[in-house]
Amino acid sequence: MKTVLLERFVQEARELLQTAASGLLTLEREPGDATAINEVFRAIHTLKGSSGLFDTPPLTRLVHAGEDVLQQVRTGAMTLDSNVVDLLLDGLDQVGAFIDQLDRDGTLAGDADRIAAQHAGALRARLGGAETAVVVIDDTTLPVAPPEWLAGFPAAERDALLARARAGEALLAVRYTPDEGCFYTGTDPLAAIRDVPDLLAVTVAAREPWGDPVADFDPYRCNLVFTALTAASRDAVEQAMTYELDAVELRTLVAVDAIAAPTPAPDVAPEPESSALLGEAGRHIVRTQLRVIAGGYDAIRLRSTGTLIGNLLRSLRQDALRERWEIALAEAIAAEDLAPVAAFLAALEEGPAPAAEAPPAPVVPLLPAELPASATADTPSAATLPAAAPPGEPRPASKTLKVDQGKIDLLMNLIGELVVQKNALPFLARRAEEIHGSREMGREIKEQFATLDRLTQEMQGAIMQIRMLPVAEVFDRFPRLVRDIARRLDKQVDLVLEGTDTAADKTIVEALGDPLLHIVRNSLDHGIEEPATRVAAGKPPVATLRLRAWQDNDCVVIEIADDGRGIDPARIRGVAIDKGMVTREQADALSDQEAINLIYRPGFSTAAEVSDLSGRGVGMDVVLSTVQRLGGRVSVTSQLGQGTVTRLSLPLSMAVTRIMVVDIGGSLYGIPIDHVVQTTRLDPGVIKRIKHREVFVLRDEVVPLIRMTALLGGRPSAVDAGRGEAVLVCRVEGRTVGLVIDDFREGMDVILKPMTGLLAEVSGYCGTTLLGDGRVLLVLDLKELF
Amino acid sequence: MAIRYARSLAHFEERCAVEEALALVEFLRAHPKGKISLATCTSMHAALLQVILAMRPPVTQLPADPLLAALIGAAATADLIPA
Repeated sequence: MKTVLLERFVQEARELLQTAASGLLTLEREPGDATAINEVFRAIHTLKGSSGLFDTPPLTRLVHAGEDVLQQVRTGAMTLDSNVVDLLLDGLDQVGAFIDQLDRDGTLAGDADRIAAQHAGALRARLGGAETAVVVIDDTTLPVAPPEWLAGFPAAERDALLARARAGEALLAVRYTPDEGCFYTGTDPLAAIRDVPDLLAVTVAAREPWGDPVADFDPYRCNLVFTALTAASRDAVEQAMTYELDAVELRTLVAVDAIAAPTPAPDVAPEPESSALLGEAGRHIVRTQLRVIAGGYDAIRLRSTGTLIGNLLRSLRQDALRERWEIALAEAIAAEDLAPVAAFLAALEEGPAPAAEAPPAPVVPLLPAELPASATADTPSAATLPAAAPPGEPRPASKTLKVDQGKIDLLMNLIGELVVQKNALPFLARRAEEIHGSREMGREIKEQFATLDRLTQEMQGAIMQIRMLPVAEVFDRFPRLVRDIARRLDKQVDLVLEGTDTAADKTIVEALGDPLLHIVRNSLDHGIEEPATRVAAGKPPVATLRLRAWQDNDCVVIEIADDGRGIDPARIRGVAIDKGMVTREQADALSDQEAINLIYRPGFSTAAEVSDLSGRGVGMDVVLSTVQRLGGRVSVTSQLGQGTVTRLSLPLSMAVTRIMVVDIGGSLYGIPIDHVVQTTRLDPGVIKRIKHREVFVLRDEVVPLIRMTALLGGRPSAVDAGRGEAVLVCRVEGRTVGLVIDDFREGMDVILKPMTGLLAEVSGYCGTTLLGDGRVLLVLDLKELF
Repeated sequence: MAIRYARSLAHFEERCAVEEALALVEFLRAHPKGKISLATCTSMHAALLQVILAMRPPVTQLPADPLLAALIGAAATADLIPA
């Protein structure tokens, strides 16, 4: 069962994990960075708070352990070294895995408890003077409480409760040994033990003898042990004590087999009188929370309010109310507005005391549980509710929308159809002129077309904007990745990210991940040298890897630059010859740049041995094919000893393709405009012949001519002697060719429909599109044609 | 609210927070015969409870909160608490 709230939590948790991970990396580099530590702490703290809303104690426990470690770092009690960072990152990975489970199944896997305890234990072992026993919870039945646990209770009360337990009531003993330093972390053990639902009795004792109270008593060293007896279920207790679970031990009061004893227990438990008190307690909590939220919208504070009220309603067994509370809370979080929450709390306070249906009376009735000190300490003491909007007043609308991507894509397709439909108008105008002989009509249609054209273009632009994502989406994963790989390779690398807010279409940004990964791995593995080698070469020991993104006209350019050893063209040639990819003659004829481009051939690898990082020879051709599939280009430049720069150039958006329509052999074809270099008309005199190939010279470059009618069929039209041959100069895979066509037509924005079904096998075409007059236009794929 | 000190009597008023623990210890060290009154105390932080348990000052009035009353009542010397 997945609720809206859970979906939001999953999404938010992933963002928080990302923030925390990148903050940790900053910290590892600069351990003293107070901003970074606070950022990480805040992320983890928020995550812990939010996770309390769900039934995920293992997750909360693990995050809590991480938070404790970070708290120590924050107060300077502990320094952050790489090992601790590794531990924390491992912990975060595990939390990420938990989040994935939640996202997939809506609940955690069965072994989550154990895994979380392991991670939390490893983290806690790092805490200074940690002697807290890590309670590994197994699923077997709980052992019986030892007699000394019960020694602190008054004899009469204890016997009465033991009798109730023997009569078959499931009573639990909770032994709570708060951490010695817990007062510093904002924990109030007294409030925590109050949170245990259905409390029957509580005692408190000193963990160690008090000693001389005058001389050496430290009031801020917690020396208390609480023992509580409760009628609540084990789950309920664990839920209530989630944040303190590591310090809690649970026992049953009576062994299961002893319950059979038929001694009818005298019912000594004093009867209700406390239900009113509980109601009062509940109202007190509600009032406190109303004051807390009166301070204005604060996502973190709202969450702790959410947990608290949720637990209150849970302890009162008001499941229906609790559901309504969660709905109100989800609304408030979604709208960043407190009105629904305030209205709910107000109703709760005014309404009939929820305690009316309260569970059986405890011996020690509970008064208001205090908020954890950390949450209240900074609560403004406003006594009134100025910020909480009274119910009925219109809420200010939220500024952002979360929309399913499918809806945007649908909108995109509709716009595409509209563009095609719009393109029909010029045909109509021509028909009006030529067939119906009304120039007036034709002109009016053209005017209408111009307006419609402008509007659809704006609309298209606006929808494109919706789909735009900053490249930060892919860049953000690299700091962690680069660090991990560099550590494994014993290299020192400084990663610099630039232009992370450059935006491109979602499809492009998302598809960029893998190619970038390959290039970065290659740089780290092959490009960047070990520190000693670098120093010997007169470079700083720490290498710089730079990821830059910027927008260049209608392209987004991503550049990956390292200052490593660079690519040696001679070595590339050698390897290519050894692998039989080129002959020696071919290799010698290649320029250095062309030799470097060989690394994009499938199966190419210069690494002497295959490492687990790269060197399997599948890397760079994957990069090339992915980028080309997206309609982009890859280029590598490298200077031996100075480093390598790989540049990916991708279209900003792929939804609409701009094509040029040309007339070949009496049929119309489209050619993607990014291939087109220029259009020209050649006088037949300038066309030379080299053997059987026709060529011409364009800006001191010999350009081969290809007669498209010979390639695609159809009869070439007679050349108009006055104007010369129509030649479209195109760049295909780095080569320039001249395509001899019959005539140029207009440029056009089209939505390309890929060839499907039987046509999918036909090579040479990248798709089809509809012309305004309903004809099908074939769009040529020049890469496949030549 | 806070702890109000009046000569040798410390009045716990309403909600008493963790920050008060040190001052309370100082007070009880300075006034070995000092007493505390919990009549208007609604809740206290565990640190304050710990001070009371460790230094065992006479408690003149128990708080209304049953949990607090039970915990302190069991620990404080019985004859000092008026019935």
